[in-house]
Amino acid sequence: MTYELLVSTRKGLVIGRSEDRLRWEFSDTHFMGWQIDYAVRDPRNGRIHVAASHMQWGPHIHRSDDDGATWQEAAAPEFHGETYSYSDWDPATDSWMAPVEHEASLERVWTIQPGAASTPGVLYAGVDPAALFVSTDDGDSWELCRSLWEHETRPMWVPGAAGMTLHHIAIAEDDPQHLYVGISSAGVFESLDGGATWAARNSGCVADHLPDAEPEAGQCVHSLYVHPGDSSRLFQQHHPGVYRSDDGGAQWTPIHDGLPGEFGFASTIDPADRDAFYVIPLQFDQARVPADGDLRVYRTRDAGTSWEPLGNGLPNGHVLQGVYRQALTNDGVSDAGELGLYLGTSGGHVYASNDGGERWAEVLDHLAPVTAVRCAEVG
Amino acid sequence: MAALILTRALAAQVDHQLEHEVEGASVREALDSLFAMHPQLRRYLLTDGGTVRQHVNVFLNETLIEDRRGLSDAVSPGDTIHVIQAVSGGSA
Repeated sequence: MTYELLVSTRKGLVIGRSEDRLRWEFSDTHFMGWQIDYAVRDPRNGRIHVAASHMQWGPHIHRSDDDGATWQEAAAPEFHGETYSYSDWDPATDSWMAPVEHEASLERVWTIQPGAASTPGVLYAGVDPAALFVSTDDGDSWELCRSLWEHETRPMWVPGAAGMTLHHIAIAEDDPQHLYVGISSAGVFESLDGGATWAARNSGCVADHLPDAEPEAGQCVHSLYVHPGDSSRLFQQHHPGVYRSDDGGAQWTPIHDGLPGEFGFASTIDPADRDAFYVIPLQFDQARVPADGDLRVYRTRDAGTSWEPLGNGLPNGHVLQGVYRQALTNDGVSDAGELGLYLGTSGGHVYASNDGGERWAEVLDHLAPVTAVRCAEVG
Repeated sequence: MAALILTRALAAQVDHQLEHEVEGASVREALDSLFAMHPQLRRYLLTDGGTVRQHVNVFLNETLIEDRRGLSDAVSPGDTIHVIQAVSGGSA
């Protein structure tokens, strides 16, 4: 088997190839000087999609049909003069202020999610300002998902430090019309009809940055997954907590007891184990460096009842690097105990494990901050 | 006819051609004539709302244009338009 690791950094994209998932050969840097916000291979046709942005030249999407040998610039989502508004909380009156209107302009493409195998040509893009765009022609054109853009809770969505971003899109394995999105700072939203209608799914989550700690929307989800083997099982790394849902997001249960901290960004699942979840706890929430100073991945195999640290091969002591929300991933290997895990740090180091996180090896260093890693079997 | 001169970084998108002949009575029309020849440049210079990107500067006869949103500054035959990335120091 050959595996491909797409390492997105703030200064370009690096592509790795490996047979054993520990020894990697890496390409020269693609898109030198550009911030790569996300890169993903579409398993349906092998196309690599890259979301890149540049301080001067703005956000762009590129794609390759030959493993990165050549790239073509593709269409990017456009707002065409759309406006949106949001409110701030007024502590003086203990109420939301009147919404302020803003003209929407694409700031960044945070994620590109290939659709289900049964919907060829369908792609989803999550962007800043928070919106979902849908393509039905493999990225040649994009259409704004208006039902989410105009959601009734929209005035309660508040930009976070990274902007107002739709950064995670999940599709239920058993129904390509069953979608979830994660938005900062708005929360989790579910659609059962392919995006025609959306419902907020944040019950049980705590928003400690708001006076109303359990609002319907305004929640700050950091990463979100639906388990491919059971679409009622969801996990999320929330701003102040780690949560699990057993009913498709209708109710969330905190599962961060046993972790050194409930704050973090990155998380990932094990496609073969509905009870497994991986997180990287960071100090809450001003420092955003590993809890206790050691870079550790924490794993649960009992749906959050207990956690174990995984640090063999990861750096110890005085670690002042975090892991961004898309910079931890798995490679989907389904054999128990053989799951490949990959993480990239804000300090430009990339670590890999081919045994479910028991042992890690540094496979790349001296990069710019790593914004995302994604791994796939390619042959 | 006016001359539109791209910075080298932008010219890299159009086979490194620095100077282009453009037509139009305003900066908007002049840029549109550039985009008609090289549509891929639009997204580099303008937001999807049509405003000049924050870190892009457009000079008309060596003076910064006044209307970065509407691009209504008047262009006359023989004028020179420079499109240059802003100096954005302080960011690594």
